[in-house]
Amino acid sequence: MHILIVGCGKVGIRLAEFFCRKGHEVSIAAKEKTQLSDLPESFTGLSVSGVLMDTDVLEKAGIKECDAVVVVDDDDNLNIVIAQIAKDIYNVEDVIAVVYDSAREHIFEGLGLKTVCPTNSTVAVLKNIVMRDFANKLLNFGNTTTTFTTRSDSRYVGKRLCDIPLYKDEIIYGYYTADGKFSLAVDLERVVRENEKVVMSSEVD
Amino acid sequence: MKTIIVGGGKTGFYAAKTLREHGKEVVIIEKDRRLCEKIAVELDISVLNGDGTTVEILVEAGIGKAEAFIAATGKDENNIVACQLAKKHFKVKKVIARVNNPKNVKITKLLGADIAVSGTQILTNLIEMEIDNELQMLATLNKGEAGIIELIIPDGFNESGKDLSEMVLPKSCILVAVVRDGEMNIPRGDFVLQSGDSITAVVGKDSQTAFKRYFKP
Repeated sequence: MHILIVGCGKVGIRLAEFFCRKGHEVSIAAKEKTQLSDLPESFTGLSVSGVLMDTDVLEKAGIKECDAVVVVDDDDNLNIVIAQIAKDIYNVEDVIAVVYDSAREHIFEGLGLKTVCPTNSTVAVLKNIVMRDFANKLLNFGNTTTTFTTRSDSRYVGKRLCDIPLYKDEIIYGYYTADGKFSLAVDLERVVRENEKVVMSSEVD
Repeated sequence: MKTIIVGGGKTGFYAAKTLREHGKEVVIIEKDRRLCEKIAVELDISVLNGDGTTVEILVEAGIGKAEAFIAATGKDENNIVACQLAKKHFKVKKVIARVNNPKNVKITKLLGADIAVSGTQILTNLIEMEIDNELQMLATLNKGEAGIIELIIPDGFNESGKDLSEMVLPKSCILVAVVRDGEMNIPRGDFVLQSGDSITAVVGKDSQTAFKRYFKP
């Protein structure tokens, strides 16, 4: 697969390194020429620098021959525009852009762009650590990320599953009984007993 | 009619000033707080301090009631995103973008602006027109079916002396203005053209070559 990475920060470099190691044909475009020196010696792909939304620079980086474009600059608006150039002008099949502002991400996702919001993912992880929801798992469905969080709380005991207080956009997914067996929360009328854990699920991004 | 302008630099400022003089309600959104204060002192309009590419500030500016939207920041990507939010998310009727790099005119139009204005391109065209006295296409009508053309009649024009009613101009062409010695004339049938006149005409697509050849054989 030929993959173009636009943006040569920490994320761009890690991705370039990863795809290159996996044997893909990788090119990376940087705003500043100096950023390219951060690429590891093992990187064998094509690297260019220049104004990132300039179609000449994108073409030099091989956008015409690309199967996928990943846009990871730190400027939301630039990422949104470049992703649309790749999608609408060069008809690249797989285009994904990083958008840090979640409100803006939501709108452009609604307008048909594939986007990822690092802010939401980071907040979800940090929130879970601070709230001591240690057994946290992330799962991706398409480009939507969901978390599964296991909580045990003495206040749950004696309550029905449907009466357990939830965060916004959260649902009860299942529960562990005291002997460690897991069941899906099919019956929300079930009452939580001593030493049981409840698994919540929510959409992160 | 309410107009929202994103970016309070020279372009945004003078656009706001002009619209205000025409009695329009104008709101400027500008990131730089000091620039906001300066605009608020000089113009009788509302000024909001914030990022005009975010939903919150656009709502605060009352974009739901805006009939026109102008993105006039110095960065093309910001102008494009602001225009897309205005056009696609808030359904503003008329959305205009300032284009800083003339290369981005096409992209800006493709991605959501109704009108993409490149000051650099306009200036370049004007300069080109001053340097090269060839025929100039000022505007196209109905997607290029006809054009408004400006041309300077060269020395030794062989129909000099005939009035307009006597001249056999190419088909589908109307002469609308003649500038002679810096003075504007709207020509009638008795007007006599002469070398050095700058003429403006509406010319059908198929008559443009014939029109050029008529004056510059």
